[in-house]
Amino acid sequence: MYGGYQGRYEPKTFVALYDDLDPATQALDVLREMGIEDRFIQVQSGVPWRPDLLGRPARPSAVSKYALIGAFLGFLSAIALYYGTPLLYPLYVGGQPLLSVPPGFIVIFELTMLGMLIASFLGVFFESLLPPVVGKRVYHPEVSDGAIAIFFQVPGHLAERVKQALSQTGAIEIEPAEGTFL
Amino acid sequence: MAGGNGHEHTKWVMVIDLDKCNGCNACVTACAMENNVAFTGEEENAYGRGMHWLRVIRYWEGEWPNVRVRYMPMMCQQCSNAPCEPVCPVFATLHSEAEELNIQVYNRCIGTRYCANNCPYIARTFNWFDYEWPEPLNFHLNPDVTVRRRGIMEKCTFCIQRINQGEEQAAAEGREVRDGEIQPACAQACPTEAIVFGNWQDPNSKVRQLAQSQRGFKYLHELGTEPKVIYLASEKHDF
Amino acid sequence: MHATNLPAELHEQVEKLRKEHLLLDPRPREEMNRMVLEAMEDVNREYFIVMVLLGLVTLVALFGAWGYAMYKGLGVAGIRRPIYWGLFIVSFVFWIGISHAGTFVSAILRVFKAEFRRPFTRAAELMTTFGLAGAGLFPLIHLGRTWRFYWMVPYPNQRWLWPNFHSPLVWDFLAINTYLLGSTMYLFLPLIPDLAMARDKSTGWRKILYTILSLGWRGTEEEWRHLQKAIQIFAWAIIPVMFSVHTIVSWDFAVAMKLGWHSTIFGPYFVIGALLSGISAVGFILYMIRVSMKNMRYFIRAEHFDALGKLLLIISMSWAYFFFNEFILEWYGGEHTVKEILRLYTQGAVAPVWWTMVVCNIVVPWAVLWNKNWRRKPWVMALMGVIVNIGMFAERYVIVTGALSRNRIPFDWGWYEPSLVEISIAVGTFALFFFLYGLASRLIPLIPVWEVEEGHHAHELKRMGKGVVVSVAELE
Repeated sequence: MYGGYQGRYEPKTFVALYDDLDPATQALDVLREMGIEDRFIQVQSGVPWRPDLLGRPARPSAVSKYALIGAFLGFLSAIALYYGTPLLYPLYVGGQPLLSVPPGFIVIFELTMLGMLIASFLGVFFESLLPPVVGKRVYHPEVSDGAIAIFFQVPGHLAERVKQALSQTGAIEIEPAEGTFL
Repeated sequence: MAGGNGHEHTKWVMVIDLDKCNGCNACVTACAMENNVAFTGEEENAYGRGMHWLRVIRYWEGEWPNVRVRYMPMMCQQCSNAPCEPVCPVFATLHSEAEELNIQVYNRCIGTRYCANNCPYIARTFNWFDYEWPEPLNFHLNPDVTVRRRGIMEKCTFCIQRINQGEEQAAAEGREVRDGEIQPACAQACPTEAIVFGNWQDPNSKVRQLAQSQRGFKYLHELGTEPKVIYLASEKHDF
Repeated sequence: MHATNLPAELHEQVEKLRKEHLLLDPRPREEMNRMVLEAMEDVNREYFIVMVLLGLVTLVALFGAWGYAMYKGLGVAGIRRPIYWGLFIVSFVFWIGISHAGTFVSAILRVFKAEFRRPFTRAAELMTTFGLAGAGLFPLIHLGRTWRFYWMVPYPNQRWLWPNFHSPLVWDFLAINTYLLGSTMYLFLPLIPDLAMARDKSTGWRKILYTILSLGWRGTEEEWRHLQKAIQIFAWAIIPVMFSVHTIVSWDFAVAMKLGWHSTIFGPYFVIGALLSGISAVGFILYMIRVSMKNMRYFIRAEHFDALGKLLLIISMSWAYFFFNEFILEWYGGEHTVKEILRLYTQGAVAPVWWTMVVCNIVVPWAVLWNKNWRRKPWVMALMGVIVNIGMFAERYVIVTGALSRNRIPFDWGWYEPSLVEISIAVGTFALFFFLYGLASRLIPLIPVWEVEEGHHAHELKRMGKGVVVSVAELE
């Protein structure tokens, strides 16, 4: 049973699997030629491929911003610990001043680095929205075996034409996929 | 030499006349009794686990029969710049501003023993085990001094309990502490009065007078630890 | 790797190169996945027996003896006045040294894009994590009151007390924590894609485990981009952290007012010593992996031992340089106590240990590692791992206990011999390390398959004149 008029335009998701980079980039060209925007395409791969090798838009990762913010927070906590806590309860040791600069560098260095590392670690998961909390996301387990999986969303009535075009590009398989891109 | 710089704040000072010390060890005993220093037993003591806060260093000199022995009572020097203090991660040993002494807070100590390694005077002792006092010594325990348990450092305090007591007594009577009124156990027990204790800030105190002596020196003075024990060298020897 | 359009007469050369280099000898990803998973899931009888034994030794020799020491007091150790630190601190420094292997091999080689690192970065990183697990125990074990260790942690508390930030032990605490957390995260990040691979390929409880651990990794462009950025940040940032850790460990000694310890060269000297023991230990671990796990002969080859051997030779030479610096300047200075300490090292009671150090750290590595044929033999490198680590253990033993037994007051000179409890705990940590490593080897893919595949893509054979050369593309 086909849906109504509305249902025909309902977007559908498909996945095309490739075993090498060249046919995959070719397929991406085909998809673009057919008018599918980059944001309706997602590539999954078992090894990282540079965006320019895939011919995909390159966006810088925001993880470095996390690193910076984390480093700053670490720095602040080091200042608070090293220059703040002795003031709460001043205790003098070894004829040394309560607050001194050189040993502070050590504390500042360690905590700055710690903040930076923790933040970049968490940044990976925040930015990639991992782990998935709600909803199913598109995935194909062949990716683990080195396949390049191209997921694309097309309006229902165009699906057959796109699949037709892609079959020329040497896809191992083209099948419907379920889930969101995210 | 002695009494030079770094003494503006110094309060309590000990002078030890090495010429008078005959190595009788009365000070060691008195210290142990006063401060509840544990008896570790013959075997442990021989192994290097004696808990003495005060020990009498003994050096033999010369070849037989021209042998001479010299003694040097050694305890915590209450350094103004104490190397043991900054290395403690938990402030268990620190500088007390009230008494200008180096104090050890037993219940704060976690037993890293770093302070002991960093003490150039090897003045600190460690509670290797929980020690028991054999009968009848368990009755002598001084109620003014904490009994320490296993795993913590301890060291000479200049009998801080006596200092506090003396100061409170004087304050209650509305007067200054008299010179010689406060005496640590070792000084009290010394039969030759080689150990003298007193207030540096009092210009007429006996310690101040003795420290003027040309024989005065501070042990390992060159390390810059600013010890508060001033030794008077025995005439034939310089340390 | 694409070796197309190479003339047939070069076939022999190509085959030789393939046999030699993992990254020129590609296999389909599917097959590599299967090989790695097979090695991981291979829990046979021998493995089981070894693990039970290691577990028992850990339980009795390490935790049993530790419990006994806590219950009785630290007197059960051999330490005595004036040697307040003994085998516990020696082992602490030793394991911190081992932990430097992972970071050095993985981070520095990653930063410099040394391709031979690919198959064994994870094996080395695991050594960091478990080395630190062993090292982290000793500051607790050696405490007189272990149950109060948390007083070193900076947190608002009812005692109104914060730790003393002047103390090198607090710096230690911060540095080791940073390093432990940092290196564990650094281990985990490149592991995620492999965990996702294991998730897709396994069944039963493993499937559940890897589903949880892989955190829903799919390998999308976004995920890879963020992951690679983070790995890049980690590889750069963990290097100074690694240097700081062993530097600060050396400062535990160097800041002290203790002759034989108070040396300005201790920082770099300890760092290079840590690398020496760490890198040689990587050789040992790689040998163990190669002989005891399935399919590892494909991934870990003579070329890797060869590369590690060269690295080890350079580090051994650098260590000798620092050692000579440390020794000759102290000796030349001529201070009485220092001379006594050095006499104790070279001629006194500590001399057997000190000379063991010299032989194991300098003589043996230099005599063996110059020879390419020896470097390429896995068992030789495994043996070097053992020998050099004996040497490095001896070095720490000399520095910690030797220096402490001589001080400025000859009346208080002492002598230290480790007690049975100390030896038992030190041995127990080795069991702990191998137990944890053995456990991890069957729980996580030990070979970073995706990195190896990336390496395969990056390498290409090219005809040049009459021969074949390797060319490497930059894919990162």
